[in-house]
Amino acid sequence: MTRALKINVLVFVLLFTLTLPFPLHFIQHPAFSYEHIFIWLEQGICSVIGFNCDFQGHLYSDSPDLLVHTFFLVLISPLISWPLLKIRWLSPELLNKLYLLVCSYTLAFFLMKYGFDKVFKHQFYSPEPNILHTPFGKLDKDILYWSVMGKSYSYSLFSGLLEVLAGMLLFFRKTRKLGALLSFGVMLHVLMINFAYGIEVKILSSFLLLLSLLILLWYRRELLAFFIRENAVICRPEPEISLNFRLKRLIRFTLIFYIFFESTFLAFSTANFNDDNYPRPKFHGAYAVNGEHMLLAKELGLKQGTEIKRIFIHRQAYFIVQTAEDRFIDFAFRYLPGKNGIQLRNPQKTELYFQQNPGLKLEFQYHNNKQRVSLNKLAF
Amino acid sequence: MRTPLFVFLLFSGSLFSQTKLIAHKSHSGSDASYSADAYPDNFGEIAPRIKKIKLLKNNCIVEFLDWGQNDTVCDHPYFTGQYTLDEIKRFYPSSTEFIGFEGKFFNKVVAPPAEKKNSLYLLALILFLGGASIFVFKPAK
Repeated sequence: MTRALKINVLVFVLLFTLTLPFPLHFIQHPAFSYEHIFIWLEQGICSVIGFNCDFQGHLYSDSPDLLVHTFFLVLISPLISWPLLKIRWLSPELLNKLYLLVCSYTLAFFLMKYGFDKVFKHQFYSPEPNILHTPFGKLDKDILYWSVMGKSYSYSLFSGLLEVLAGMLLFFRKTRKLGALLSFGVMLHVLMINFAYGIEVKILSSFLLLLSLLILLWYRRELLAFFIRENAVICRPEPEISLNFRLKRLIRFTLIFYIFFESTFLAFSTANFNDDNYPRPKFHGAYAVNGEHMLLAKELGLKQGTEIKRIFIHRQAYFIVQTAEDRFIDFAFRYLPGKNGIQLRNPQKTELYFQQNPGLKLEFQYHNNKQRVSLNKLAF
Repeated sequence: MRTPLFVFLLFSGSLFSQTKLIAHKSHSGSDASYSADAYPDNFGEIAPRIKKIKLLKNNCIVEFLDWGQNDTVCDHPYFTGQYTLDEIKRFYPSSTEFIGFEGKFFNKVVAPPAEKKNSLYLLALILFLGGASIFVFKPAK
């Protein structure tokens, strides 16, 4: 790989990582402060060249904005790299080391973040009751995949540990080759899932696969000799930067420590190390509706004659009704402090109260009269 | 018993890790009525939801959510005077900004509870300094 190409790759990787508003918990990603500047700039370029870019104002997963932004970075990277070519202190050794370290640590950061999310069951969470009561054929591929993954703790733990292991191997010179190979396998699998199941992390997972390929490219001679030519493998020594060895260690330790801390911060700060066992909010669950429910349908503003089969309380404060035709209608709600009830965020601000005695009932107001619907809590 | 309940009510909403579209389908079932702006989650990752809290008069507060929505709540159980401001801050993510709380009320004198989040930072600092001193000052081979 030529010097120009290496600098170009380095600039692109840094720009992409620093401008991607990736949610962080310990510190806020700086990209949240300047993503609008990029969008504004890219919008201007699109209008100048007369191309209709479908901007929505945020660089979120697979949005048209993120796609245009990525192309924009590909285009401007050579322009930024060009003056760097002539910098004298950027020796070949330093450039090679930076290339390897930036690619490895960036990839390791994302692998550890997603890996620990899976280990703690934060990513593929246990499916919500309304999803479990939806006919299989009515679910889209992405939510279906997410839910099936969410049903197995052991698989989530296994895939998470694999990602964490790949990330950890990338930190150290002696294990980096193995880490790159493992990361390549993991990321290829993730990318295929994202494309095959229509999950909206295609651009980021393509970037991570590219990073693992860029690291493997550095070790191509050793890998080809070992796997294909079956020759004796002579490992090329990694370039060394002429810097005080204690300072180098301090920088490396700080980076590794930060990556570990950011990846596990949410689990430790909420003491949630297995989301399957984490307590769910009040009333959370699925309920079968018995008997008279037409008034509830009317109160909720549903079409006349709508038959409500089940109701659900979603973990993120949604009241969901399932009709006899398996249509789902959701209402955001808030808990009523100090009362056994919720208030829907619909125009009528419907208040619903759960009564335990006698039998489980849902009480609501209809035309100044209190109405009740009998419920049966369903297992899920 | 009340504190853990409040804590999980708050965090239970922020522990989901998903893309915006999956967040939407999780409660609506389909992508009809989907609006990306309504969800802070991104790239299959969790995002903090409540950005700042402003105290109004009459024990009412406004919660400013990450995706531009505001929510005004009166007589919120945290803000009726039974918790000190430091206690209330423990119920929210560390990045949450509190506006208009200076010297208003919350003067309840209670034995300071264990600062879970602060102790986490302290533990991290100790681990960092300890680890760094061992790793950095280890003699070179």
